[in-house]
Amino acid sequence: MKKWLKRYAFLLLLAAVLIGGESWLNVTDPVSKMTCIWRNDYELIRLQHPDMTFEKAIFGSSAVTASYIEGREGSVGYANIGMDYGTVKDITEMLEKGQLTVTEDLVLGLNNLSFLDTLPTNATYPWHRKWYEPYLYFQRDRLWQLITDGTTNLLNGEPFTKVDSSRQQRAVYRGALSDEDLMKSWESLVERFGETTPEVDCAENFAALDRLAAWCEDHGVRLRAIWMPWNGKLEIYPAAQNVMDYANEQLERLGIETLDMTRVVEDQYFFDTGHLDYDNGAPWFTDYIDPWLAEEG
Amino acid sequence: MWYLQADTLVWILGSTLLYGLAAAILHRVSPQRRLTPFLLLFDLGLLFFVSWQLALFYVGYTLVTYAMLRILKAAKGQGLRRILFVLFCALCAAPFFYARFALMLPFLPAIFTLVGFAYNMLKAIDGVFYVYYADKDIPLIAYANFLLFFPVLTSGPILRYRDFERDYLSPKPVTAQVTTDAVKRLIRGMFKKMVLVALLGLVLDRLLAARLCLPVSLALIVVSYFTLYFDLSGYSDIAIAVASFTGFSVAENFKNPLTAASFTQFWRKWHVTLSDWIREHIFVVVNGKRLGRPASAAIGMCTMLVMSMWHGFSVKNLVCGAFMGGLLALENLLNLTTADRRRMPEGIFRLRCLAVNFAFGINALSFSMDLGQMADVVKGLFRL
Repeated sequence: MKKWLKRYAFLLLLAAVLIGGESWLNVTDPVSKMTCIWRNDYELIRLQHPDMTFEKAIFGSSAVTASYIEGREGSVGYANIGMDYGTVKDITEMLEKGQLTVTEDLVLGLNNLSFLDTLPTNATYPWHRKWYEPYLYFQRDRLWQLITDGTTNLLNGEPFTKVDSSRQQRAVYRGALSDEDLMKSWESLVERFGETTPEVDCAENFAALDRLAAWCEDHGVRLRAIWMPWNGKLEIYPAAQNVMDYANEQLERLGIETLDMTRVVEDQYFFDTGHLDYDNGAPWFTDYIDPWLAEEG
Repeated sequence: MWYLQADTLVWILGSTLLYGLAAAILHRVSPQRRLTPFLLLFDLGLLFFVSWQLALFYVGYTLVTYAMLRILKAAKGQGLRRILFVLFCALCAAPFFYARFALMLPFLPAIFTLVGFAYNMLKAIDGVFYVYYADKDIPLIAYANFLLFFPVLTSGPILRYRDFERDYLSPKPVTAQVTTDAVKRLIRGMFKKMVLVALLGLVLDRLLAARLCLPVSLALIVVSYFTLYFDLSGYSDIAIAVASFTGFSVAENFKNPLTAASFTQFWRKWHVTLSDWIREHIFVVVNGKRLGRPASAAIGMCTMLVMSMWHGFSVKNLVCGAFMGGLLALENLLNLTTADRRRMPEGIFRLRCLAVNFAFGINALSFSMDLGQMADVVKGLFRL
């Protein structure tokens, strides 16, 4: 036995270090606690709501983050759990994996991109982690960013780590783009997503919508949806409209109540194509949808 | 780079572990039996896991090139054999040339998925050489295992059939010591690829943004050299480690090139399996083994040109090949190919090592910048 242990000492020690280190990292999750690192929106929400359990919540992409003011005086108390690049598949996976829980009401803030399977996402969201990815591998991009930023700071005579307050809150938008920049932003959307079709490019998200509806039914959660505002100065390009039409059929099939806000908000409240100006548009939007949110099921 | 993708790496290491355990058990139960033919299942499994199109291509390529070997073996008459030999070598390389030309000529459709093909093509040609020169048969399963051997499927070191056959017929037992050494080497290779290369990349970017002058140009050359060295040798370390888990010894690809005091020695220490392959399969065969200085110089020049163009058909590679080939040719003409450390002052030996590796460092710039930037870096050497 002693001889065997000696022969395999290195391998056993390595296995112990790897398993022990991985377990410790997973339990403590140091990266999400570092103030000098970019936190993703999921982690920022968790800072505000450590147990990630919500009675009532509105989920969506950055369009939701920027448009609904959580805790606004007199509002019905929905939590804004909008996340950058948030899709229907994302909320479904979070709920299925227990990374977030809703107990009473869940509202989806939708636009055509909420259903796009190929939408770029934030790779550091925990539900993207595969079972075989070690902690440090999964966090490699942010750790690498920390190293490169830190090295640059040192070379500039600054401390290795700096706390950047802009990294500690979800992005909102203030003011409005000029008409020229607005048009560029719209053209960029058309160029990137103008050829998408619901059947091919959104299949996974529509499948996730079915799973989400089933999850909500199983857990006694009321599921509703809002089509988020679209800037009136801009056309809803045909591919986006197709996805929205197809989505409406699916929402109707699943019996999900829907509020259409696409053409309700005035142009003055927009920052760009779909993000509202947080100082003026978001309060207006929050007040407008509040009675609908407050309706009893 | 499959070894750097988590899912593929898990597949490779999982397969290797499974195979290693099975081989170890079999070795205890029945030492005269071997599991090596079954490695093909892992090879094919990995290919299908990565891409079914790639798997189909390699299955087809293996069968077609194997048919060539059978035809060559069955051919009667030296003249016919010679014609078939040349034809089959060319056919083995045909997809490679097509893919390279398709990059330059957009009207050619991209019909092949060719991960690692630049290496596997060389192995297929080696099979043709083996059958032609040794006049021996290669069994289909052994050939498929040779061509698709997964530890070196996407990159070097380049296997030769006669070396592969040795371990295929008599694999080394995977003992605790072999496993320990392999794990250490795997960690070393990963560290080179994932940490050192990435860190040097940062330094390279910063240097490229600076004004080019003597110290900056020197630093760029040194950093480019080591980036390439850690990249290629790191990959070789990983491939050699994974292969040794399966009882195979894969040839070393890097043998401390910093101690090369001539270009001839350098190419016996840097990416050894590629330069050996080219020397053995093209020029030594064509010209015989006893060569005069001018012939050696010409062969050196041609070897460098072929090797450089193998990396890609471009003006940059042509220029780099001519640069390295020119130095090798000059060295042959001046009879400076050998440098015995014991018979020369240590200072001179070190100076020669420095000069050789510095010249290669200039060539290494081509892996991180275009020809214009390379010229600027060289000009920077003459600016304080």
